[in-house]
Amino acid sequence: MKPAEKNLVLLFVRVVLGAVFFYAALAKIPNMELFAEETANYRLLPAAWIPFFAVSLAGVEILAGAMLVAGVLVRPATIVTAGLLVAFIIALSQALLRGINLSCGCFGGAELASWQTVGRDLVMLAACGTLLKWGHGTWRLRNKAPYSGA
Amino acid sequence: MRFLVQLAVVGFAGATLGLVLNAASPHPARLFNPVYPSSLSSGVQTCGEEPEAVRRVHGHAIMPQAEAVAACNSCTVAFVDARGAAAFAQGHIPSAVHLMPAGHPDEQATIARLGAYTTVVVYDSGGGCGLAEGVADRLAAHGLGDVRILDGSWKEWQAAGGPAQSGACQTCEGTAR
Repeated sequence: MKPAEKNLVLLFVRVVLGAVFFYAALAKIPNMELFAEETANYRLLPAAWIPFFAVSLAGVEILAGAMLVAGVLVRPATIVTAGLLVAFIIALSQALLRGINLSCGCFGGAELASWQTVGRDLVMLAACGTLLKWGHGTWRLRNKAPYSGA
Repeated sequence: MRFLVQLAVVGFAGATLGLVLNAASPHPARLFNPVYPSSLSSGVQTCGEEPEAVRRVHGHAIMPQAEAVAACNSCTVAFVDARGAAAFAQGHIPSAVHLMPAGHPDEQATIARLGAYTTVVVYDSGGGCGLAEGVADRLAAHGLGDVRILDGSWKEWQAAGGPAQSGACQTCEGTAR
């Protein structure tokens, strides 16, 4: 793959990943109370921690997503995103293995948690790994703008 | 070291942003109120108890009355009344929604409001009329994820002393029959 093509692919991966996180967080804002309840349904944290945790989680998601889209501090944003995805995968898997019937709380709707949700998170985690290994792509179509002559 | 500082800044700034967005939310999380799990956990066992199989009708899980009363008191689920407008006006579960007929101009808005809840519980007057099942099917067809049917009926809810209120729904005001 040519460097320009590779750059374009990495740019696409980064922007899509960031946009998904940004949208996921934005969709939670209208009903943070519901998101806190959905977080509690995972049965992983003490009840008193849930509101602060849920609020912070949505904030970190929206910030990391915006940073990925904008290309600001991309490496720390990618690592934070990957950390969140690992946490989501663990939380979802333990809930599914324990047979807890719950809404995943992913996009602020009533989507039920399932192994497909875990699969989607694994795909996004792979996208984070790609960005960390191969770079994050930049807003340019060529590595060097060729001089077209007079 | 610089990288760790950047990570910490993202975490701290994100958490702060979350607090600001929560303050701006129309339904903010109450930060100093503990939040307890509310979902039906069919697989989590208490020591010495047999796991209770989740009963289903039309593919919808049945919510036991005791669980529904607790959910009603904590306002964690939305209730949908599948009976007629007049029966609804005489008495219903507090905050229950009286779903208007399919195709009504307010139908989409009402279903969208229900979509804000993780779980929706439908009930009717019992007697095997299947109204609750029909409404539950309709809500599921509109994309609501967790639609359940109340175990028993409105009469049993009342007989068990469940919370109730009366009055016509806004849409049906003056048209109850």
